[in-house]
Amino acid sequence: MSINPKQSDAFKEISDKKASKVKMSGRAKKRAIWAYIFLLPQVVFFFVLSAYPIIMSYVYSFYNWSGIGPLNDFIGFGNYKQLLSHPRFWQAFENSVYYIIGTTSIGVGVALILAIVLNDARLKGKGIYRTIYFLPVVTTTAIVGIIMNSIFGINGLVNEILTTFNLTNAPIPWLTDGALALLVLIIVGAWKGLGVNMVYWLAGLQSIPNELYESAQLDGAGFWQTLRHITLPLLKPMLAVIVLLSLVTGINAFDLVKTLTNGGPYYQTETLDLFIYNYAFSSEHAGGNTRMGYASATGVLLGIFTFVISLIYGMLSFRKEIKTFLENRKRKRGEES
Amino acid sequence: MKKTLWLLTIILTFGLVISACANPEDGGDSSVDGDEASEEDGVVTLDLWNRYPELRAPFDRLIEGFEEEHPDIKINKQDLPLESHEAQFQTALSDNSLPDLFTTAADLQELVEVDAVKDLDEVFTDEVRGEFVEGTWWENGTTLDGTAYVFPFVSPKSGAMVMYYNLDVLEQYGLSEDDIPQTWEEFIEVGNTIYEESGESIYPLAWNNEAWSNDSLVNMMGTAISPNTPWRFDYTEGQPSISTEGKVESAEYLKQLQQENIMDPTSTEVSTIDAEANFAAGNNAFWFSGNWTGTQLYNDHGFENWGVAELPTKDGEPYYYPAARQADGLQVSNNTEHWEEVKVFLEYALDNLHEELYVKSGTGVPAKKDVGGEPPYDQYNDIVALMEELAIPVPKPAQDNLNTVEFERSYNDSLGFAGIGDPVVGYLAGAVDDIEAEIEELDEQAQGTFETTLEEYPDVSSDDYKFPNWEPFTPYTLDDYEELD
Repeated sequence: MSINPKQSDAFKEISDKKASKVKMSGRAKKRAIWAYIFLLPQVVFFFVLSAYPIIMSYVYSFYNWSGIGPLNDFIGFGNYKQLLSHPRFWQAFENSVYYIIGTTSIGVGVALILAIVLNDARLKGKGIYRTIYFLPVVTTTAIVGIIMNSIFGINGLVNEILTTFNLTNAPIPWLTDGALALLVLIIVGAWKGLGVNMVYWLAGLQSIPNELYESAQLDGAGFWQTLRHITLPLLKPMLAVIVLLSLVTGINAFDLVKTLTNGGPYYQTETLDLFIYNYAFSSEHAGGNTRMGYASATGVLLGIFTFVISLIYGMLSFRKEIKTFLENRKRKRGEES
Repeated sequence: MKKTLWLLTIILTFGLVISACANPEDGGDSSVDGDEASEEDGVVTLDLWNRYPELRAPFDRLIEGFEEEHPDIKINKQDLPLESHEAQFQTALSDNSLPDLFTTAADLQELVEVDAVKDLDEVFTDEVRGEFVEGTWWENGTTLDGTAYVFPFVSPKSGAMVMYYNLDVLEQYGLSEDDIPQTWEEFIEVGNTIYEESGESIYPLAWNNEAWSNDSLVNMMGTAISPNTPWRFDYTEGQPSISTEGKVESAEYLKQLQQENIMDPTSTEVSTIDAEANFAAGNNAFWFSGNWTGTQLYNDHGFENWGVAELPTKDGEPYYYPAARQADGLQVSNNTEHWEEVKVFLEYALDNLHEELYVKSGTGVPAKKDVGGEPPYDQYNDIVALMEELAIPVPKPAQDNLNTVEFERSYNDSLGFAGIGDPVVGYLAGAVDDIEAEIEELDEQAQGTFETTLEEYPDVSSDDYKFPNWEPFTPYTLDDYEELD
C-alpha cells in the first residue's frame, strides 16, 4: 500500500495536532481527570436510578410477576398480547392522546399570547403578573388536583357561580361526566404548565434584537405585521422546543389525573401513567392482584410511544435543518472523494 | 492542599451516597442501626406497620400498655397511608426490608412462597387456636396447609354492609326508628318524605364513588334475590357468576335512588370518607357501610345519635355476606432479628389486642372469644348482632384444594377486573347506559377466562367450585367439607 504525497501531508498535519495536544495536555489532562471525577456521581446515579430501572422494566415485562417474589414465570410476549387486546389500555391510550393534544395546544398558544403581552415595555407591574402566572408551576400538582376537585365538584365554586347567575338550572357534573371530566383535566393541566411555557416564550422574545423592531417601525410596520414577519418567524426554533417539552409533559400525566378524577368515571379519564400505577400498585383496579409485569409492559409501550412521538415531531420540526445537514454531508463527501 | 481537600470532599460524598444506598441486610437500614444502638442500652425496638386507619389510635394505646409492662422492648409503629400502602409494602418486600411486624397486605400464599412471613404455630398452638371464634382459621387467610401465619384480628363474622341512620335528621322530619325501611319501596317512601319535608334540601342517602364499596353493596343486596351467588361464584353450579338478576336489579335500584333525588348528587364524586362525614354532619339521613363505621362516627365525628339496621332489600327478604372473605391481622417478617421479643409482644397481644383494638374502641367484632372490655358507644352491640346474623360462612374452594389459590390468582390476572364496582360507579355517573348488558359482557368474559385458566391448571376443576351440599343462608362448616370428601 502506497501513500500519496497529499495523504502524507494530511497525516503529518494530524500527527502535529496530536503532538501539540499532548504538549498542552499536562494541565488539560488534570482538568480532564477532575471533569471525570465530577461527572462520576451523575453517571453512577444515572445508571442506578435511570438506566437500571429502565432495563429491568423491559425484563419484568416478559414475566407474569405480581411484584412479589422471584421472577420465575416467563411468559414471553404474553403481557404485550393481552395489553393490545385490552379495551381499557386503548381507552387509556386514547385519553392520553387527547390530553397531550389538548394541553399542548392550549398551553403553548395561551402562553405565547401572555408572553407577548408581558414582554411589552409599556406594561407596568410585569413582575407581578409573571409571578402570578408562574405560581401554578411551583404549586404541587397533587394539591392543585385536590383544590380543583372542590372547585369543579357538584357543589363547587364553578357550579355555584353558574347557578347564582342563572346560567344553568342544575349543577353541571364536571367531574363525573367522562367528556367534561377530560376537558377539565386538559384545562387544568394546560393552566398548570402555562407559566413555564410563558417563561420559555419570554426568553425567546427577549433574544430578538430590538433593532429589528425599530427598523420595522421606521418602515411603518404595525403590531400585526411585526408579529407576523419578525416575532413569529424568529420564535420558530423556540416553538419546536416548547412543543416538544409540552408533549413529553402531557405523556407523563399522572398526579393531576390521580387527584382530580382518579381515572373516573369508569376509566374514562384514565391516562397511560395512571393505568401503569393501577396495575403496579393498586390491586383494587387491577383484577384483585397487583401485576408489575403487566404494568412494566405498558411502561415499555409508553416509552416507545414517547420515542416515536418525539422522533416524528423532531423530524417535522427540524426537517429544514436535517435537509441542510444531509446536503452538507453529501457535498463534503463529494469533495473528499 | 486544596487538591487534597477536594479529593477528601469527593470521597466523603461518595461514602455518604454509598452508605445511603446500602442494603439493609448489610446494616444500612436506619432502623437496624437504631436497634443496635438500642440493644446496647438493653432496649430492643420492634418496627410495626399498620395499614388500618381505624386502628391507629387503638394501636397506640395497646403499644403504650405493652411498653409499660415490657420496658426493655419498644414498638416503633408506622401508620401507612391507605392509598399507597400496597406500593410501600411491595417495595419493602423486594428490598427485603419488611418491618418485624406488619398488618396483612398481600396474598398469604405468595408471601409464604417467598419466605417473607414467619410460621406462628409456636404461638398459635391448638389450645390457643381454640380460643378464637369458629371459622377464624381458614386456608390462604390465616393459615396455609394448616400452619398459622396470621395473628387474626377480626371475627370471620364481620364485614357485612348495614344501614346507618341519622336520628337527628329522622326526628327533624317527624320520623322515628319505627319508620326505618326494610324494603326498597319503603326506603323510597321514607326518602321522599325527608326530601320533600326538608324543602328538597336533604338528600336522604349518602353514597360514594368507590368501586369496592359499590361492588360490596350490589353483591350483598343481590343475595336477597339471587342467593346462590354470595360474591363472584355460584357454588351450586361451580362457575363464575358475575351477572345475576340480584346484582343487576340492585345496581338499577341505586340508579333509581339517584334519579329520584333520594341519593345525594355528590355521591358520584365523593369517597366513602367524605360520604360518611356528610352523613355525620346531618346532610343525609342514611348511609350504607360496614361494621367499622360505628367507631368512626363516634370517635372521628363525635356523632352519637345514630342507629343501625339491615340494608333494605327488594321485598324485605334476608341478605348475607360470605364470612371470612378477607383476613385482617398481623404478620411477622421472616427476617426479624428479634423473634423472641416479637413472641413477647404476640403473647401480650393475645391477652390484650382484641379488647383494646376492637371492643374498647368499638371498631369491630374481635376474632377471639370472650373478650372483655366496655364498648365506648351503645350501638356497638347492635352492630355485633347484625354481623353475627349477616356474615355467614360459605364454601371455600381453597379449603379442600390449595391449588385453587394460584388458579384464582391467574384467573383474576387474565380477567383484568376485580368486580362490578367500576361499572356500577360508571352507571351512576352516566358513563354506562345499560348496566345489564355491561355486566353480562363481563360475565361472558369471566366464563371464558375460567375455562381457559382451568386448562392451564390440571389440578383444579370446576368441581372444586361446586358444593352440592351447600344451602345458601346455612353456615358451611368443616363437617360439610368432610361430608363432601
